Parts: sequence; structure tokens; C-alpha cells
Amino acid sequence: MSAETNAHAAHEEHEEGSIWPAIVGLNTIALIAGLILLLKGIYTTVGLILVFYFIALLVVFVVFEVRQWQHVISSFFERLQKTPIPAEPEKVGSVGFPTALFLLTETAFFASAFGAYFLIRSTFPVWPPPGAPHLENFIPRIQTIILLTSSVTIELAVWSAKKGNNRGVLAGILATMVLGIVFMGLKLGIEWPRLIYELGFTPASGFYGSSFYILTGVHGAHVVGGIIVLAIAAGRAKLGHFKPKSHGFLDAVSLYWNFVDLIWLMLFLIIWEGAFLW
Amino acid sequence: MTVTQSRVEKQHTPWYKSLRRILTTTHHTEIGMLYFAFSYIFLIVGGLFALWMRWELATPEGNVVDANFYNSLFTVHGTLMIFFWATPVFFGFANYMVPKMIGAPDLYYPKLNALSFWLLPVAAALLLIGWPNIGWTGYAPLTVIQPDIGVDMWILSLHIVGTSSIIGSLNFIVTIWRLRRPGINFSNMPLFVWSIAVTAFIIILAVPVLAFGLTLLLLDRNFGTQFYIPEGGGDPILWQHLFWFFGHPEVYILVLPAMGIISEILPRLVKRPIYGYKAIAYSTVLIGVLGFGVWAHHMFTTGMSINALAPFMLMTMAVAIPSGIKVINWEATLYGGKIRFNTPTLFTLSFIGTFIVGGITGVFQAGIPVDFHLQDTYFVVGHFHLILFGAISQAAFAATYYYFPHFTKRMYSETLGKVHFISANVGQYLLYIPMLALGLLGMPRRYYEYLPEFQGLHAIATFGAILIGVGTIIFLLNLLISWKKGPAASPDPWDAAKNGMPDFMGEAMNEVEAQRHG
Repeated sequence: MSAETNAHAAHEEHEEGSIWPAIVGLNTIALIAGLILLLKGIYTTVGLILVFYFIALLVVFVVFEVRQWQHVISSFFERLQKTPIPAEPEKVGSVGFPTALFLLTETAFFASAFGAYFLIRSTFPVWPPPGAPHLENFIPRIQTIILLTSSVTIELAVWSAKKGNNRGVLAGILATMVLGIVFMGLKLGIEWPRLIYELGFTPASGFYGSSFYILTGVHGAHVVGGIIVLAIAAGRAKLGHFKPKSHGFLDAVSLYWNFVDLIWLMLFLIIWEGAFLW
Repeated sequence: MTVTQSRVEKQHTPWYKSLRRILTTTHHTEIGMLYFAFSYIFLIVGGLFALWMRWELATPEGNVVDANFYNSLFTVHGTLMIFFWATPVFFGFANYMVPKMIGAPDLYYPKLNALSFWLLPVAAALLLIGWPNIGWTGYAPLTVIQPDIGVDMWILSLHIVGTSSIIGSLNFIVTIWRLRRPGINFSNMPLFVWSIAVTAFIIILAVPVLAFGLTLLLLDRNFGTQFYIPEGGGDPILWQHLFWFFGHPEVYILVLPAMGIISEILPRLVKRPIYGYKAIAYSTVLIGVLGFGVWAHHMFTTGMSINALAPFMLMTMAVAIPSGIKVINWEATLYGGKIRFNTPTLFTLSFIGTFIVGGITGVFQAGIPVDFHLQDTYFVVGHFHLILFGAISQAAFAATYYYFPHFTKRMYSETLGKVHFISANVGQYLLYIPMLALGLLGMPRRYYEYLPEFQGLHAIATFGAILIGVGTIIFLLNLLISWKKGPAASPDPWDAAKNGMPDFMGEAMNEVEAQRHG
């Protein structure tokens, strides 16, 4: 009896195994090697090839793996049903707890960013320091409106998923993606080039410049990350993965997007609207 | 019967199939074994670097290595031992045991679990190739102006390790919250699971701070930003704040799993249920919380105002209270227990003893005036090595001996185990007590040559280091040979189940229920 179950278990394990963790994990060496070459400005072509190789690898992984996720999740719950642990497939929908944990790490990250910013800012007699350029708040205001709208569109996608309206889900996700891309376009296409080339305000312009670019930069990186997971969510919506009772991935993406939105509001208030200024 | 069958199968498996299995496995026990293999390899590598340094320090002249190479040795030794030995070895135990202890079939995200292991070899390779020479604490502005590419590799290596531990911790928290079988809850969950839950929370709150600090460092080095450079209004002390806000909780990331595993094996070894379960569980949480409020005790001599530093002194002293609660409960468990003199018991007892010595030397340094004298001396080195080797590593050794029969179905050699115990313990006191004395006499850390009057103590320390090295080699040979050739072990090697404390609570409950149903 026990030998049989052991053999069965071994067989099951074998099926559950995957080469992808090892491939992705070990290939980060290519990403890092490429990044170092790019940072140091030596063999930049090789560096770019290495970085794009890693990105291509991730794309291949996602494209191949996304189709299997439903199967992976259901087989995991089949495995659970043989144990006394209470777990129903519907619970896949409740990603609130894992997402909250992930957002807790993000909170720690942004808290350290804001903490470092205020710690150094408090050593300045006046802020902004004399000689620093005036930061126009016209574009950031538009960006704020864009991001607030995008929070509505992602919630529309979740609402549509609950109603079982797959076209609404897809439309909501795509609208959010477009708004995110416009946000990044305004930042990287208009605002930053104007600051850098017209006003000469670069990351190397003292702590004022460094802190401006790191705070808006890490936020921008999170928006880009959000656009990528939205693209994955769009792919899954097209495959019809989101059911009224099981759309955990979409829930998680919407929570994350709203979190990034909230961080933007704080940045907007602190950097452009003069909150906590003295 | 099943055991012999699997043994026969193992012998017939060609090497490329085993390699394939290693690369593709997502099962928690196998990933746990990978973590063990990885961390023990880097224990040897880091230990060899340590011996190399001790060899240099045996004489006052710097004649074995040059100053720069010595800097690299202590940098890589420190980073390796913290991120590639002490952290992963307990991740290995957690991987192997947490699901079994809570009765789960696996972790909640098995593939992510495999990913968090497979990021580690890359990080270790980056560190060794980079060969940085800036100290494991990487203080700015040295790290900013040091042009060596190795520093960038060190930064990115720590980024990868951090990513790996955050992924692993998220996985453990979700597993512990979601996959507990009925009947296991927060009032009777094994203490090791408690400590892993708290550790995982510390990791997800502390490591992002390090990641942010490292990112700033990378930008300062490569894009001319001025976070850590005073000219543009930045502050080198900012790095110390960010680093130690991570760095001190990191100490508890290392010590809490060690305390947890001791709380598991001690009662089973002395055949008496743990005394003060609740006190130990809550003190784990308390250490986790207090650990976030003590980071500036690494910065007493940076010129921060005394009013800002005093609370950190009090908080640091306060951490001694929950640690003391644990020690007293372990001792109360020993009282009236049947103490057996086998290797895991000996290492468990030496863990408690060395933890007291190492911990109390830490309480001394919490006093600001004392720290002014001891900052950056060998006293600090002696103190944290007593904790990191004397307590944490010895807890890992105790647990490795204790669970070895579970991992391999074979028994190790008791005689060699006791030889290891004696050499490790005699060695550590010969190594670290002279370090404490040297520090009080004023020997600064990170010097590769020194005044001739310190030679006697340094020579004793080098002798102790060699003893530890010999003991560790005996230990690893014992494990490797016993793994292949040792006598078969019983499924309940320490009579734990017989005494009503099965080693893996959840698994035992699952079996009982399976038998009841047929």
C-alpha cells in the first residue's frame, strides 16, 4: 500500500517538476553581465545583446507557461484535496493575502526611499536648495489625472470579470495599459528630456537632482512593471482564464496598480505641490 | 523494503538523469537538500578564506598576502558566510521541514521555491568573480570612489540574494498561513514554524531597504548621483542608516531559525516537552519587532547626537530580555529531562552556552561609552563570531546531526561526531576569547599586520581556527561517508514519536488520519 502510494507520489512529483526555475535563475548571470557592461560602457553591444537575451527568455517563459497556469493551479488543488487541508479551487480567487505581502515589501522599499529623502532633505537649510530649477507642475497634473483614470479602468476590468463579461475585462485592461504607456511617454518623452537638455537638471545636479530622479525613477519602473503584468493579464483574458469566481491574477494586478497610483499621489504632493515644505 | 528498492534504483540512475532531476525538481524536500549542498559548499569556501586570514595573522608582519588581497578576503568571507552559508542552511531546513511540520504536501508556490534556490548560485559566482575589497558592510564613500568593477558585482550579487530571500519568504508565509492542516494553529504550531514565520516577515520588511540602498550606491558609482557624496548635499551616513536598518534585522534573520530549531530538537533529545511554549513563541515575535529599532547601535561613533542614540542603546539592551526568556525556557526544559550525551545534544548544549557568552558580550557594547572604546576592534569581531559560529552554526550542526537519519535514512558515526564537537568547541573558545581580549587591548579589526606585543593572542586564535577547520572537515567527511555507507537508521531515530513528540507533527497527524480512514 505504502509502496504504491510512494510510487504514485514520485510519479506525480515528476510531472510537477519544471526546468524553468533553473533556466531563469541561472540565466540571470547573463542579465547581470549585460548590465555591468552597459554600466561601465565597455562592449555595450554585447551588453545589450545579453540583456535582451534575458528579456527574450522571460517572454518565451511567459508565453509558454501562461497557458499551463490553469492546469498547474488545478493540479495543485487536486493534490490538496487528497489531504485534510481545507482548500477549494475557488480560493484561487482570494489572492488578497499573497498580494498584500508583496505590497508589504513594496511598502518597505518606498518607505526607505521616502525616509532617505526626508533624512537628507532635513539637513538642508532651505528646500529646494538655492539655484535649483523650478519644476513645472503642468505635466505632473496631467499625469495625476491619467493615473487616477487608470485606477478606474482597472477596477472596471475587475468588475467586468465578476460579471463574466470577458470583453469588458479585456477593454479595461487595455485601457489601463494605454493610460500607463501615455504616463510613461509624458515622463520619458517630454518631461525628463526638457529638464535634462533645456534646464540642465540631471541626476548629477546635487542631491536635489539625484533625489528627484530616483523617486520618480523607481516609481516609473513600477509603472513599467505594471504595464508588463497588465500585458500578461490581457493575454490571459484573451485565453478566457478569468471566471466570475476565479480571477485572482486580475485582482492582484489591480491591487498592485492602485498601490503604484497611491505612491504617485504622494510623490506628486511632495515634489511638485510643495507638501511638507518649509 | 521500500528503502532498499529506492536504493537499488538510485544506483542505476545514470548521471545525466540525476542532473535532470536536480535541475527540474520543485519538491520541497529535494530543494531543501539542494540548499544544504549549496550552503555546506560555501561553508568550506568561506572557512578556507578565514583560515587564510588567520594564517596571515599568525605573525605580526604582513607576509602571506598583500593588504588589498587581505581586504578582499575579509569582504568575501563575511558576505559568503552570511548570505551563502547561514541564511541558506536554515532555508534548507525550512524547506525540508515546514511543510512536513504543518502537514502540507509542499510549499504554496513550488516553482517559485525552486527559483529562489536557483538564483543563489549566480549570486555566489558574482561575488567570487567580483572579489570586492570594501568590507562586507560596504561603507560609503569608499564604495562610491573605489573604481573596481568588483564592487558593482558585489552590489548586484546582493540584489540577487535579496530577491531570492524575498521570494522564499513570501512563499513561506503564504504556506504557513494557508496550508496548515486542521488541528495545527498558532497555539500549538511547532516553534520552528513560528520562527520561520517571524524570520520571513523580517526578511520582507528589511531586505527591500537594503535593495534601495544598494541601488543608490550603484547609481552613485555609475551615473554621478550624489546620495552618499557630501559635495552635492548627500551624506555617507545615509548608507549606514539604510545598510544597518537591514543589517541588524539580518542578525535576527540568522539567529531566529537557529533558536527555533533548537526549541524543536532540545525537548525531543531530553525526552521532555518544551517548557514555556508560549513564552518562546511570543519572545520570537518580540525579537522580530524590537530588531527593527536597534540599527543605530552600529553607528554610535558617527557623530549622531546623543539624544538620538540613547533610545537605540535602551532598545538594544531590551532585546536581551526576549533572548533571555528563551535561554531560561531551554534551561527549564533541561531541568528534569533525561540528557543523553549524543552529538546533537552536545551541540544543542554548546549552542545555549555559547549563545549566552556571545549575547552578553553584545549587551556590553550596547552601552554607548563602552562602544566608543570597542568600536571597530577585535572585541566586535569576537562577539559576532561567537554568535555566528558558536551559536548559529552550531545550531545548524546540531540540527544536521539530528535530522541526518531523516534526510538519508542512515546513521552518522557518533565517534566522529564527538570528535567534531570537541574540536569545534575547544577551537571556538581558543579563537574568539583571544579576539575579545585583543579588542579590549585596542587591536583594530581589518588590519593585516599588527604590533608584535599582540602576537601571543593572535597565535592562540590561529591555533583555534585550525582546530575548527579540522573539526569541520571531519564533520563533512562523516556526513558524506555515512550518507553512502552508514548503518540504516530507524524511522524514529531519537525516540521522539515514542515520547509523544513526533519530529514532524503535521505529517504524523496526517498518517494517523490516513490509518483511521483505512
